Amino acid sequence: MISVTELYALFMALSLSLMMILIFVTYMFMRKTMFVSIETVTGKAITVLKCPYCSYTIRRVFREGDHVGAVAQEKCPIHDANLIVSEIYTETPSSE
Amino acid sequence: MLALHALMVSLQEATRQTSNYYLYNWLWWLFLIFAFFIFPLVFGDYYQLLRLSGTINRLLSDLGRVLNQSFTSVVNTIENIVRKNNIQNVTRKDIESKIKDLIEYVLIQPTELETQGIVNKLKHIITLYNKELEDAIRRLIPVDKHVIQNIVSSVEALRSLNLIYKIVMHYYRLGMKYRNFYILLQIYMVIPQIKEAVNAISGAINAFIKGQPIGDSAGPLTAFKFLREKCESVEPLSHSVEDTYIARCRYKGRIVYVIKALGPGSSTGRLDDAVTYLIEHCGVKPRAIITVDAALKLEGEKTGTITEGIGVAIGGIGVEKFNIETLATKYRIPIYAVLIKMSMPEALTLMTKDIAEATNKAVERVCKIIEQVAKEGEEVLFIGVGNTIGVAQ
Ligand SMILES: [Zn+2]
Repeated sequence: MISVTELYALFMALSLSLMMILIFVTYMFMRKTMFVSIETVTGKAITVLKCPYCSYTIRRVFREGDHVGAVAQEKCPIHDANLIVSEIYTETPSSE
Repeated sequence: MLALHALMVSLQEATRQTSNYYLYNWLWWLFLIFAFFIFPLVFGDYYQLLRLSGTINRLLSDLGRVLNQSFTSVVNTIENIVRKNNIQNVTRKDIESKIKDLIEYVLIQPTELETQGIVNKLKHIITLYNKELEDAIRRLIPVDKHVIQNIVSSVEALRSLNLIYKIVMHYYRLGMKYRNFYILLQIYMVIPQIKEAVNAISGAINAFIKGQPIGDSAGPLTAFKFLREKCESVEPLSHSVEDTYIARCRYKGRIVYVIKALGPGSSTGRLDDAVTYLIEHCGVKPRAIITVDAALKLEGEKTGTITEGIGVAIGGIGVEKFNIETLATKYRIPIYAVLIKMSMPEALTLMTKDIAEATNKAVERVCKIIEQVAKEGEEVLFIGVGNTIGVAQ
């Protein structure tokens, strides 16, 4: 036989845990909007060099002063011509 | 079932008991009523205010951090240039105060009460604004033009970052001053857009100070690739249009005039002036004007998708678009557009591989259009629209 006080304790415990669950769910829901901070993801820049006479291409890390159309120091093994920067890009896509 | 049974039994028993049961009962109900009805009614707005102010406070501190970082990196870049070029009498303090001044520099739009000739007024004001910014930076560091252009662009990006910060701060302060959560709600509603914009702009500053091509450079890159890979006998034309590159070349017997901003500094060129120069001063009679530009995609569209269409594909305030449209209409020239789709952050930050590959496809599309609209010996105008940072010619 359960006494009245015991019953009330049970009832209170039940409703309190319900409230806790509610608060927890609200927190989980709000976390998405509250705690997403601003962060800038900048991928590593890659420079693509191309021979002006054939399809010989190499890729290397971006160096200061590189720009598309610039003449690089590297040379084509077949034509002995200086390679030209044809593309500069990053392989990490920007934050989606 | 067991619980229900226990409840029934104990309730029956409880009715037989006296005072204590009723007291507990009433206290409990009072608590419930307060917790779920009175409290939310009276303190609901206040609770919302608390929650929103917390969120916006966090956003503000994030914004402040990004703004500070960007500011420091721009100042560091200028300091490096000063050291490298042995420029005398320029201290870090000078640079900081100059940049702070330039960030607050305002551009007042012409009045819209009388719209007659507003495009030319706008063009005048914007040209002047850019020239003033460039001159201000040149007075600080007299170096190559393309370096100055890159610094000017990063200062402009800093300016918009600062503006966002100030507007968010304004609404936050106003809302807290009058304890009005509806004002805070307005900022709360646009937080995703603010975050995207801030991400994009701070990424843009990063690319500008290093001189790397951004997503928006897809148009000039397409023009570059067209000139290098598809054309024969390329000859640059000498002209008086500032910041703009015009070249004449032959593609399968057609004469193509390629227009792009003059790289590799950050610049969008004066494309409308170039078109005017070619058509009205050189007497070019183009069979078509083809523009290639980056276009904003919708969420869910794939980056690097290429679409064709009719019209002038130039973003921005619309001055150049207006002028080219006017010219095309005057001489009845068909206008074709090739668009490379990308998101706003992609357009402003370091070019991604998808976009670089898409420019190859854009070149093919341009070639196809030229072959379709012009016979051998006829003339076509091809404009690579966009910021040419990191892309020469
Ligand atoms: Zn080769």
